[in-house]
Amino acid sequence: MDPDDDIRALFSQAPDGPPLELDPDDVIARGSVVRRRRKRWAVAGSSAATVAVLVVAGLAVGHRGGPPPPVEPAGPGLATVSSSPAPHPPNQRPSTATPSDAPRSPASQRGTSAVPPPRVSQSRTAGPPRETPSTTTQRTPEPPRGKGNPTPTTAPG
Amino acid sequence: MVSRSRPRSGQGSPWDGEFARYFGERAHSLRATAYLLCGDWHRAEDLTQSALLKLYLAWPRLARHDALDAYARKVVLRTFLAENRRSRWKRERLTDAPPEVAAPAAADEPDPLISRALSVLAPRQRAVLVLRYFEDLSVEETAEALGCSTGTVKSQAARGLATLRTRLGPHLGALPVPEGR
Repeated sequence: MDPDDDIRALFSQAPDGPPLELDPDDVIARGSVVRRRRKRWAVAGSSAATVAVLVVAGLAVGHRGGPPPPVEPAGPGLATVSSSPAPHPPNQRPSTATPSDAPRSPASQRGTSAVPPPRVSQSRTAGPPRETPSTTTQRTPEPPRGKGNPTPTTAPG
Repeated sequence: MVSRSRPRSGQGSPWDGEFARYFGERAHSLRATAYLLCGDWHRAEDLTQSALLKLYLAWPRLARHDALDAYARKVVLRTFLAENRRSRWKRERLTDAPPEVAAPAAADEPDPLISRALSVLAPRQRAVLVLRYFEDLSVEETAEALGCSTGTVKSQAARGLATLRTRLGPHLGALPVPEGR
């Protein structure tokens, strides 16, 4: 005799229950709706994926196949800074470049330390700014550059 | 479940007839299994319907139609366990006065002994005992249906049996022993 026979006897007491209310047509109808909805989602998803791939491919090809951008000529940059003071100061300031500027160097140092930005802007626009007197006093240290008078150049820094 | 208007429209699937035949043969037995698992006829009917719907959706993919019973049983079992795992507020609540009035429950079976006995077990222990002693599955088949090891099946069955024997006591020995099962 199986020791679990009492348990099997217990499970054999399971009732039949009320009549079954389920209908196969209901289940089939629901299943058809679910299958149709899944199919619609699958079609929509694959269409969206195809469109996305086409857009990405079109963008990639468009970027690669277009005409190359025109090459811009190099701008003047720092070349104007170095070249512009050289021709002009000797012509317009014949006397300011004399050694008599040496005693004024502390005053010019203070002036340059107070307003460094105008000096840069004036040096970039090479010709026109000759009308303001302050620029002339600031430009005076540049001609003796390399001649043993480093004070005007080292002062702003 | 109250029968509704049939929303069937258009062409059905080629396997509808085959499914309807299987439904007629096996729906009762699936509902009995579901009832032993959950202890409520209405919930058992819902479980059976969910399982059969999943079976219908998977029908064209099922390569072995001779294993449909095992597949359907597994779907019922896993639907039941998944519903038990679900958090309380997501689960459907069964009330005394449902909005749709179904057929009257069997009044001659107010609270069968098996239902009371199984209600004290944990869902997984209940599932193991139902598969082992109601469906007459082997330990290996039960483990395969539950997706666990045979050792787990044995331990769960032993614990469930001990609880049942403790709970039922002398009532268990007084039950008539079945012959055919």
